[in-house]
Amino acid sequence: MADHARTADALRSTAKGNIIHATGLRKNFGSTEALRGIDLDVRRGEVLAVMGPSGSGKSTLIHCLAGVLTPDEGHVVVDGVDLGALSADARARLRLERIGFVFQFGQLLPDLTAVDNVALPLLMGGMGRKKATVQAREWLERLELGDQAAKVPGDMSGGQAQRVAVARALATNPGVIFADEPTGSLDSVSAENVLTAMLQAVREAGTTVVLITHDPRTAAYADREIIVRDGKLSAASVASLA
Amino acid sequence: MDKSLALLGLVDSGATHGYDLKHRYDEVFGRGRPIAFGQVYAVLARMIRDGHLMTLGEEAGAGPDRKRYAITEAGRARVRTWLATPDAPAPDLVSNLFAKVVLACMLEADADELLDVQRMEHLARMRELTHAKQDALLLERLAIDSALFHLEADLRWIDMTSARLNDMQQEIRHHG
Amino acid sequence: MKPSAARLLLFSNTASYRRLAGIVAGVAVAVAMLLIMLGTYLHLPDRADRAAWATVPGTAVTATDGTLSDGVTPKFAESPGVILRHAGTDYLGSTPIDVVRVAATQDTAVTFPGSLAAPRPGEYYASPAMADLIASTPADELGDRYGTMIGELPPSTLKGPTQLAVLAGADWDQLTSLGNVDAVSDFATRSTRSDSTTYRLVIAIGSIALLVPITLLIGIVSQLGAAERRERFATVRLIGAGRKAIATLSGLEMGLASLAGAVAGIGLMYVLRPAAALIKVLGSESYLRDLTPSAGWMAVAALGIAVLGGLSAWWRTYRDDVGALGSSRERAEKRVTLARFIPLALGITMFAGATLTVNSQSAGGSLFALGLLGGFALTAFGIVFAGPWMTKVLAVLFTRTARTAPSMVAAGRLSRHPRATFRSVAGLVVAVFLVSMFAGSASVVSAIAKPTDVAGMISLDAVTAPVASTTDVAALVGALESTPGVTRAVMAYKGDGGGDVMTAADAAAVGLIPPAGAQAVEVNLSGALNENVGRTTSEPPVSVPAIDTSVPYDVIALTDGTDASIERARTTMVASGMVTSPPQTRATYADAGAMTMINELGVMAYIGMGIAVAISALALTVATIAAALDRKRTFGLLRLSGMPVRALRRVITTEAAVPLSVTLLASSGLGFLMAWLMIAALGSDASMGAPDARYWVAIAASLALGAAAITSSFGMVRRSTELTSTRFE
Repeated sequence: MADHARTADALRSTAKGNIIHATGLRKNFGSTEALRGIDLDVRRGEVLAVMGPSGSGKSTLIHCLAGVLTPDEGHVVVDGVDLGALSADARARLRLERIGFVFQFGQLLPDLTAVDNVALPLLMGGMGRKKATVQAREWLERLELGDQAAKVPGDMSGGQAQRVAVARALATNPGVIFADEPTGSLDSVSAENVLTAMLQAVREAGTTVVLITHDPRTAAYADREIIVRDGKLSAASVASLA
Repeated sequence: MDKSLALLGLVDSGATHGYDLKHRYDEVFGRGRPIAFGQVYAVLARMIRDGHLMTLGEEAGAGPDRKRYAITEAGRARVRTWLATPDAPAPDLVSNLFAKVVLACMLEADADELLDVQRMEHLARMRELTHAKQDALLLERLAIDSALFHLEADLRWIDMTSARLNDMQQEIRHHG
Repeated sequence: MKPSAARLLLFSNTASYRRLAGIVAGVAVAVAMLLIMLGTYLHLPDRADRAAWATVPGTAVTATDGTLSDGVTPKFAESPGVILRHAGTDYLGSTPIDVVRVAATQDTAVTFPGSLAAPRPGEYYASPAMADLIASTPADELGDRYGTMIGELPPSTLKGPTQLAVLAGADWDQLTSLGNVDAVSDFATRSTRSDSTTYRLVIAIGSIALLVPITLLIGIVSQLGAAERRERFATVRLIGAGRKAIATLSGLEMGLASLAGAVAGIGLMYVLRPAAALIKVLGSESYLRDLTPSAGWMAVAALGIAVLGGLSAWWRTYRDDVGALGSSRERAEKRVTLARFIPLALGITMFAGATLTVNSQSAGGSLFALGLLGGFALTAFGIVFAGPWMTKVLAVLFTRTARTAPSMVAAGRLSRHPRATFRSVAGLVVAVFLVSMFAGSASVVSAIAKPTDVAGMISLDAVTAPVASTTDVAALVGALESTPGVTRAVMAYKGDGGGDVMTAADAAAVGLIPPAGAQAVEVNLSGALNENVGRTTSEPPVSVPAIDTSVPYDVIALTDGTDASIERARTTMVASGMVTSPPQTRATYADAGAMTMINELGVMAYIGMGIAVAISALALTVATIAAALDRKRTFGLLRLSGMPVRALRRVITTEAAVPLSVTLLASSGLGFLMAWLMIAALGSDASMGAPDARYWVAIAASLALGAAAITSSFGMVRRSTELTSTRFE
């Protein structure tokens, strides 16, 4: 697509209320075609589940949407910003300020307390320590972790630690959160608690969530889902997006 | 699920009128699928004939819905036995989908897409249930969880079948 | 336990091979260095003893045959069982040469060093290095002093291959006339032990000093992948192995690795020997065999280290066992308490006690040495032990004041892992302590001032020597004045006041200042030659009425100042056989050989410290990389979430810089304190001065190496946290 056509297309998409607009995504790793032409719009404020078997290309897709990888073809517009026009540093900055991430495990710094872990992205964004700590505490309260503020991740249960991770992702008030199997290492009850807490906080803030999972009961918390297979969206997914 | 035994169990929990029985049934078990009065009375009649229920006094001018029913010793024993006996898994859904997949393979249609459509249907259903769970009472939540797990089990079976499609296609061509 | 299980446990991946290789290498380096130091230590007394013939008189003979005409010098009768020995330090430029002149009868029964035949008057033996020097120097500047060379002194008579020594034959009466001769019945075979004792003490201290960074490095390497190893051990425990079995396995692994390292170290020692031999000890480079301990010692060292390594690994594994269930949570370190300061405090007290009581007992006393060495060792290890507590305190302060994200992350790690974070920098901290202690001690030895032209002191171009009372003055003066480059020869005579008398004109010519109008003066010649006495001018010459020329005392030759002329003047004096001590210039008087030992110890110390700093920097690199790899996933995910690489770099830098900064200051202060204690113990009014330029260079090098160590880990950190290596799945 020519530049001006692309910009117009992007503007139209944003006007329609899409926070992420991706077209024609292709990505190869050596001789492997990981993405074979994907078009996707994510509506502002929705919770979208991304499902698909291992090797389907779903992680590559997410990497492209989050600006971690640059697609070989196609472009991605996040919150009005064309990722392809940004340098690697600028994309990193974007991730820091406008995107939140929740991983399955291992994302919290084991040496820091919960409140410091949550404050970390705020500090990285340039906020002062005091203000960051206050905001971090507020987020922990909102996720009902007020009494865990001074504990380190090692002294918490898995579910509590994951909720701290969610608080951290939300702390910078991002436009969109990418959650990769956020409850994958938890038992059913903790998983439900984490998901409920996350979605409640997210709905209040109007944040969009892209939820990668292969667990249907987790996907059931989303507003809709897409299935990625062999580098493309399944026909059923495409039909549902129309 | 076995409706007669459910009704019997409800009577066990306290002597009751037929009318109350139907409403109580709807409340606990019948979400979205209320039971018909006729079905209730038919079941009650059968239970009396089998000796699991008995009637207690009548009010004047009573129709069947004015009678008061109570459980008998035999009835109580029956309920206890039913609670202690495990159920066989319901094969209904699986047999339907299986037929569809085999046909799809024979007719060289896209079995994957078919399964995807079913997946999305299941997921849509799961979504509804999950959303409903938010405002549900505890008893309902347990029921919803049960439905969700079953749907998930179906989805697991769908995933397995999806993975086996290649082998299935070859076998069908051989026998087909 | 089945061998297959053991193999699975120990050699499961390349990381474990790397770790074992690292341990073997570390132990090899340690063993090589320690063996060389041990060998030097063991052979030192023997080296000094071998060359004792040059520095110590033999068994004295008392019978005399009366005295000479000067009424002082005893005469000895010639006898086969007696030799006359005259020893002194000759110079070429400022290089000292041991010269021993011996007069013996034709049928002498005295055994000569190296079983050589007694040299006749005019003949001499020279050490190989001396023979080379004579061959490469004009004869009238050196060779003519001694006569005709008839052979070389064998190694069994020398301290080392570069020792310059001459054993010359002389006439009996001529030697007697010189006055300061010994009549002895044999050559000494035992040296005074003072010098070698000092060196041995220094070597012992040096071994301890080098042990610290090496054990730290080995400790750091064996801790690589510790978390993963613990998990593997837990798995094997689950299968049914007992706690002792696991510990034994670990001990065997470490023991065998240490043994392999020790054997490699023995090989490495042979490789390093030639380089180590170049370091001057006791005034000479070393013969290779003087650095080498016996095979028995080497076996003991190798086995000892293997056993020590095995036992310590056994103990550590036994203590760290996490049971069959392993631990999914990160293990917090055990609390560090103020009690960690005890060994340090104890060490300083012992050291201070030893230094302060040294005046009340002989300086060579073993209690003193024990207190000194023990105190020093305890202090050095005490620093390593106390460091984590200081780190913890710093971390708490730092946590409160951290403003940026990297500071906060670093503060967190420092607070919860003070032992691991301090251990990375411990080597450098100890190295700085050692460097400071040495620099403080060395500052007391003020650099020997190069002699300058000062009015009232003997001219820098003059060569002076005391002469025998029977000197043929005319002949000597004539020979000197006809020596190329000599401008004037002055004869001084014994004065009534005990000094030298000479004409006022002569006095003025050699640089002294006679009082106005005097014709003859009496001077204190040694005062005019020797600047070390602490005065820059000598007592002024005193006018005397007349010169009594009956007893020649000293001869002074003024030269044109060139090195060649000075040497020629020396040669003429020595060859005349009339000088009773080797000729001196202001320069050689100032040197007087005292600096040699201090210079040598200085060289050894700086080499040792250089090695310590290099090893410490390596340890810091390994530890920094390991710390980053331990947090690979977390850091990788942070980068994914938008944390820039430079923030990561800042985290790693801060985690090393914070403990390093304050502890470096503390340890250098401690080093100077210990130096001050040592100097106070010496008793003299010496006081500690500012450290010289070499100290600052050493500090700058340590800091630079530390910085290099940290930055060299950056590449590895960036690569291991690359966005594609922490995939979502």
